Amino acid sequence: MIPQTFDYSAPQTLQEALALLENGERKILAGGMSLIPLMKLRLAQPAEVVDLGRVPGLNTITESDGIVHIGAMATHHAVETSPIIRAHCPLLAETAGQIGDVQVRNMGTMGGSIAHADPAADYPAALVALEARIHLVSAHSDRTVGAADFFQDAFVTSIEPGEIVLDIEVPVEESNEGSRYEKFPHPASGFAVVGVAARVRKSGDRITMARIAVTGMGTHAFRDHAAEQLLENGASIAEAAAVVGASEQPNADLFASADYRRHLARIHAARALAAAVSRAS
Amino acid sequence: MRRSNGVLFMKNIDLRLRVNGQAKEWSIAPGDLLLDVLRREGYFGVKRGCEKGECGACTVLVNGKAINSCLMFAAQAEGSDVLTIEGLAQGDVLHPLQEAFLDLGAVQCGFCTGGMILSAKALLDRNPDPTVEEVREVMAGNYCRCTGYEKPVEAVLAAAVVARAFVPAASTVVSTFGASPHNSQAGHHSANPRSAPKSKKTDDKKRSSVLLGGQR
Amino acid sequence: MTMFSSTQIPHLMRTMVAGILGMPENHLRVITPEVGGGFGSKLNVYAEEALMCFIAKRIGKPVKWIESRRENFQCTIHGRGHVDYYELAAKRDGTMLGLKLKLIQDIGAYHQLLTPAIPTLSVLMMPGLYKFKSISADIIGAFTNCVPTDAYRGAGRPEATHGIERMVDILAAELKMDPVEIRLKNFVGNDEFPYATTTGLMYDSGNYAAPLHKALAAVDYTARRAEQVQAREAGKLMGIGISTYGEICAMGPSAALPAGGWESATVKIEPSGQVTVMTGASPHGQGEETTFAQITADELGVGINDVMVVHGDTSVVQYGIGTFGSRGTAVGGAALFYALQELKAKIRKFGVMLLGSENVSLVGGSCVDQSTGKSVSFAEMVVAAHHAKTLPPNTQPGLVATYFWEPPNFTFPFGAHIVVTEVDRDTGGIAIRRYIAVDDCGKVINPLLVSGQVHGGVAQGLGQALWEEAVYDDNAQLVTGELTDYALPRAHFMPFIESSHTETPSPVNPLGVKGVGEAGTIGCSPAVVNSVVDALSTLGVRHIDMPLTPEKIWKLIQAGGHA
Repeated sequence: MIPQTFDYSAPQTLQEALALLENGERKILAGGMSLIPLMKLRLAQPAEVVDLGRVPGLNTITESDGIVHIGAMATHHAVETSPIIRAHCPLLAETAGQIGDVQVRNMGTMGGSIAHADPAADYPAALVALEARIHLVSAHSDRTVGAADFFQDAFVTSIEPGEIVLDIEVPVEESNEGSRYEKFPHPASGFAVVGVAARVRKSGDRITMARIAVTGMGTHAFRDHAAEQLLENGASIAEAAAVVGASEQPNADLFASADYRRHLARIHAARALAAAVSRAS
Repeated sequence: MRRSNGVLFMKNIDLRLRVNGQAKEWSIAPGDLLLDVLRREGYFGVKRGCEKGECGACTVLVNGKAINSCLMFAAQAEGSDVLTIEGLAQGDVLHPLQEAFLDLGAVQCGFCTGGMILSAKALLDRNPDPTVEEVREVMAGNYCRCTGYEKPVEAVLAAAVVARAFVPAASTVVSTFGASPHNSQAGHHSANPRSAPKSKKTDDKKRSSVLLGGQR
Repeated sequence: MTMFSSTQIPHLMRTMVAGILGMPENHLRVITPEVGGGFGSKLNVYAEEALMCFIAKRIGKPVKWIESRRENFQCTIHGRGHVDYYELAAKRDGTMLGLKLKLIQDIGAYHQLLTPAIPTLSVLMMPGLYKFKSISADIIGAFTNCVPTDAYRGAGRPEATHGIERMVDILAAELKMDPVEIRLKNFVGNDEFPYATTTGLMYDSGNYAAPLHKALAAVDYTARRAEQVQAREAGKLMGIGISTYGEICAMGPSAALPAGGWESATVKIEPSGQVTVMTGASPHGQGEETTFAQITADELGVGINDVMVVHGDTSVVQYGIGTFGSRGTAVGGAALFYALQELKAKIRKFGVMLLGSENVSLVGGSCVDQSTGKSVSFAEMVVAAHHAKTLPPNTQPGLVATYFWEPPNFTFPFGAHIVVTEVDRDTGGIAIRRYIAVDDCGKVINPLLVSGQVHGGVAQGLGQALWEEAVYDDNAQLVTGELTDYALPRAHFMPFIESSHTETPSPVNPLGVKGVGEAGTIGCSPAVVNSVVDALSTLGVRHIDMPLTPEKIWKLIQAGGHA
C-alpha cells in the first residue's frame, strides 16, 4: 500500500499547470479519492503528480445566463451545500450528498470524479440527465463536451492528453421541472450498484420532457432514450420504467447479477420518476 | 524540471502547516501520506486502519473538515490547519465530546474513537443541534466493530446539548495550545478511561469551565 | 527479547513463541499495549509473530511488521464456515424429543490454535435452552484451500444457536404453533437447575422464560402480530423474529481448554493505600480495567480511582490465560475476588492487632471492634502492615495476594432477542424496524459496559446475518478481502437497540456473573433470519441461508418462495 515514488508539483496558476501537463507522464491530482488508492495499489504509477489544489479559482460555483458553472475542484461537499446549486440544479446537490461518506465528500472533487469515470460513480447519471457540458482546456485548446459523450467507457472519457476538466456547465433546472436521484448503494463501498437520475418537465398533467440516466449498470452512464420517449408520448411511469436498460448488457459482480441490476435500474427509475413528477407539480 | 540526464529523481518537499495550533515545518517525500507523516511525528491518535479511505480511523480535521488522512498526500496539506485528537483537550480539560464519550461508555477498544470524535466535532461546529439521523450519517464514515455505534451516537447528541448550553460569548478564541503528542502505544498500564456508572454529569460549573477553556 | 503484540493472550504467546524459537521462555517478554478488538482473531499465534522475533534476533535490530488490511483478511483466521444438516424429532403437541446434526466445518488450509475446538463447542451447545431426550452429531472437518477458521466472537455457539433457533421456528411453522408458545413449552424449567444436557454440559442456573416475556412486552408482541396481519393485507412483507439463545461462557474449566482454563490475579496494596491489580486476563476494549477496579473498590472499601489495573506485560503480570470466550470477569474477576478475600483476611489480622480485640469485622475498609465500636482505618492497617513494627502472629509484612482460580464449570447465560423487519418487495432489501435484546448474563457489575457489549455484539450479528461473507473465486482467491467489498454495519444502518436485562446469578463463581462478550452476536443472527423468514412465510419460504443479501431475497420473492 505504498505508492511508487514520484515527483510532485503544485502549480500556482492554470497556465503553469497546463504547461506541465503537456508532458503525458504527469498525472493530475484533484481530491485524490480515486488517484491515491490507485497509486497505492500501483495500478497508477505516474512519474509526476500535478496537484491542482493551489490553483486559484478552480473551485468556484457561479451562475450566469441560465448556466451554473461548477469549478472542477469543487468538492462533493461544496456541490451538496452550495446555495446556487441547491436553487438551480437541486438534482446535482442531492446526488453529491449520496457520494461515499463525509470524509470522501470533503476531499473528493467533481472534476476528479468525472475524469476518473468509475462506472459506479454517482455524478455521471445526474450530469447526463441534466445535459451538462464538460469544459476541457489544454495549453492549446478550449472546448466543451456534452456529458453523454464525455463518458465513453469504464474509466474512459473524451479527455485528450494535456487536457483538464476546467469546469462543468449545468443548465438551470426550469421552474416546471422536477428531478430526483435514486440509488441502491453497495453496503461496503457505498458506490451505486445502480443509480438513476430522472428529470421531467410537465405541462399540466402531461410530461413534456423526460430525461432518465442510469449509472452503475453498464460500463458508463447512459441516457435511456426509449424510456424517455415513452413518457413523453404519454406512457405511465411503470410502462416507461419497465424498459429501462433494455438495450444494455448490465454489469454482473459478486453483489448483483446482470438480471438483478437491470431490475434494480427499473425499480429505481420508477421511484426516481415518481419523485421527479411530484416535485414538478 | 527536476530531471538530470533523463533520470527522474525524487525531491523532498518542505511542508509547513499547523497541527493542533502549533506551526510545524517538516521535510517530506512526495509520496508521504498525511497519515504517515502525522504518525511519524508522534500523533499516534491518528490510526492506520484500512489505508483505503473506508474505515475513517485516520480521520483528522483539515481546515475544520473531516478527511481521511490515508487518502491525502501530506503535500496537499501545505498551509493547512490540522486538528488531531491530541489537540482536542486542553491539558487535562477534555472537550465536551470526549467527556460525553467517556461518561456514556462510548469508548471500547478506542481504536476508532479519535476519528469518530473528530467527525462529530466537525458536525457540531457547523450544526450545533443535529438530529439522530444527521449524527448517524456523519458517523457512517467511521467504522467501529466494538460499540454498534449506539453509545457514540448518544454521546454526540449529549455533547451537543452541553455545547449548546454553554456557548461562550466570545467565540473567537483561537487555540494556541497543542498538547505534545503522547505515545499511546508505550504504556502497558491501564489507560482505559474509567467508565464506571456515574450519573450523567450535569455539573454546570464543570461543564462551563470545560467549554470556556476548551477549543471551540 | 521484547515483543509487542496485539494479542488476546500475551502469556500463551510468550510460551509458544519461545518454544517455536527454542529460546528460554523467561528471556522473552511479551507486551500487549492497549490494543483494538480481537473478537477471536487475536486469540492465536501467527507465523509472523514468531518470524519477527526470529528476524530481530538474526539481525540484532528492532523489527516492526504492520499487516495491511488485505493481509489481515487473508492471513489471520475466518469464523463460522459451517454446512449444517439438521433433523429434529418432536411430538405433535410441539414437545421436542431429539436433534440430529451433520456438521461440515470448513477447517481452511491449516489448523490454527483452536480450529477443531470450535465445531466441538457447536455440538455441546446444540440443545440450546431446550430439553432433548436424545442428541446425535457428526462433525466432519474439511480441509480446504481457504483461510483457516478459528474462534470468532461466539466461536461455535452462534452456529449452534442459529441451528437450533431456526429448527424451532421451522417446527413451529410445521405445527402451526406460535414460535413463542413452542419455546415456552420446551424450555428447561426453573426448578430443573443444575440441568444436565444430553451433550454433557451442566447448565448452572436459568430462568429462560423471563427474558422472553420481557422482550415480548417490550415489543408488544400481540400488537405487532396484529400489525403484521394488516401489513400483509396491504401487500407488505413484515416479519417478527425471535431467538431465545443460550451460550457457554466463562471458558472454562481447564479440562475443556488445551492450555488451562483458569485465570490469575494479584492484588498489591501499596503503603499509601493505593491498590494495584494485576490480571492475567488481557482486556482489549471490554473495560475489565473498570469492572475490576469496581470489584476491588467494593471489596476493600477504597475509591475506584485508587485502583490501578495492570495487564498485558509478561514481565510484570503473573502468568495468565487471556481474554476470550466471555471469561474476563467470570473467571478473571473471580480470581480477583478470591485474591481480595485473602488480602481482607490479612488486613483484618492487623485490625485485630491494632484494636486488641478478636471481635472485629472489616466494614467498608475499616476494622470495627463490635463490642466497643472503636475502629481503625484502612490507611492505619496498611501502614502497620508495611512498617511492620509489630506483626500479628504467623503473619508476614506487606499486603500482596495472588490467586489462581480454577472454575468448577462453565457459566450459561441466556436471553431473548426479537427483531421486527420489513422486506422491500421490489429490491429484496431488508429494513430493521425494531431490535429488542433482553440478555441475562447473571449479575451485572457495570450496566454501561454490559450494554456496550450487547450493542457491539448485535452489530456483528446483524452484519453476519445480512452481508458478511468470505467469498472466493474459482481460483480460490479471496474476493472479499478489503473493506470495499466486505460490508460491515455502519452507523447509519444500525437500528436503535432496545437493550435490557434480567439477572439470574450464576452459582459457579462468587460474583454471580456469567459473561456477556458474545451474547449479542449469538442472539442476533437467528432472530434476524427468523424475522425475514417470517416476513416471507406467506410466499412459502421456510429457510434462508445467511447472508440475507438483497438479491438472494429478491430472487426468493420472484420465485414465489421457491428459489
